Amino acid sequence: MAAIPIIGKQARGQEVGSFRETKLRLKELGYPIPETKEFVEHHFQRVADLVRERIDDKTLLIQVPSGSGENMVTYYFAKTISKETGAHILPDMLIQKLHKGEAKKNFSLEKRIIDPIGYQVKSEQIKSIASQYSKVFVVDDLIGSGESSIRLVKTLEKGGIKVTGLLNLVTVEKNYPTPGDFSRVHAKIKQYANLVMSDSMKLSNNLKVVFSDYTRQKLNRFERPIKDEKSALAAFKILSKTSRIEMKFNKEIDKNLGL
Amino acid sequence: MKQTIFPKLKTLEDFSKMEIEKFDEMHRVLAAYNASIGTKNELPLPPYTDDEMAEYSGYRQLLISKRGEEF
Repeated sequence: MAAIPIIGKQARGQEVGSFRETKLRLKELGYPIPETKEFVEHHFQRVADLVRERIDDKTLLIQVPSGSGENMVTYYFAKTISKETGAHILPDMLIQKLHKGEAKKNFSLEKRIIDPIGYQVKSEQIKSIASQYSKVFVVDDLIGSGESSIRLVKTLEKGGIKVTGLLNLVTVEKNYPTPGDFSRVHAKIKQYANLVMSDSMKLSNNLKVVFSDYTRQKLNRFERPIKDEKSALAAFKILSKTSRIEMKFNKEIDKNLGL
Repeated sequence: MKQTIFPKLKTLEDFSKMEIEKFDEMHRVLAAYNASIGTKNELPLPPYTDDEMAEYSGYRQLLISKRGEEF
């Protein structure tokens, strides 16, 4: 899958922290209407120009289902985009989330194998609706590693639905890993784990398979705990396992998109 | 050209009282699980099947949309 464009303005650390804190406070209060509206509208002003440039009435918006089952922010963000541009929102009950641990909980790769980020999508129905539009955007309030939104994009593409891009109210990270990022992580694991040539080549391939489609944040999180032989070997093993799962998924995407 | 007829999408009114009670219980269990993640007393992964999670998720999205009508 080619790296999906992420439409949003990269927020600085403080802005992200403040967004998360306010959103949590709104959630604890049950997302009161005036405050939630004001919160979304305030953040929308930062991305309004990007939205108006790219979105029009021939655009279909697909919301990422709420991880907590309560999030009104993504809902209201999608509504705001629709109001500003004439874009249409995909009806409910066509996409459901399957994972129990919310994406923001930053599970390790190992934990995610047991509870993978996953969606059930009614592909044929969505394809039929999407065929009436020239662009399809997946909408979420915040993107970090991209695990929830990009996984949804991949699931839609597995169902034969081509996605134009991602739209976010707040963007923590919009860049994908570079060859330099992969080399750095590869060198770190190889150094600590003392890998033979064939394992080193597998490592190189597995890093790309597992992390290329997600933002840099996912790779950075994976790299952080690697600091000695034990953690490097554990990282190598879990990466091999995750890579096999991801490769199988990617093959199905290529098949269903006719690639 | 042959038109594909898709099944009607469920609305909130289509869920039975028993289903709603089940989803409310799932919501409590999942919220407690997520709140415990990373803590000393992390709860075990709730044992819901994909079908149960999908139905629950769909119901919650409908609730969000219903609430959103007030916006």
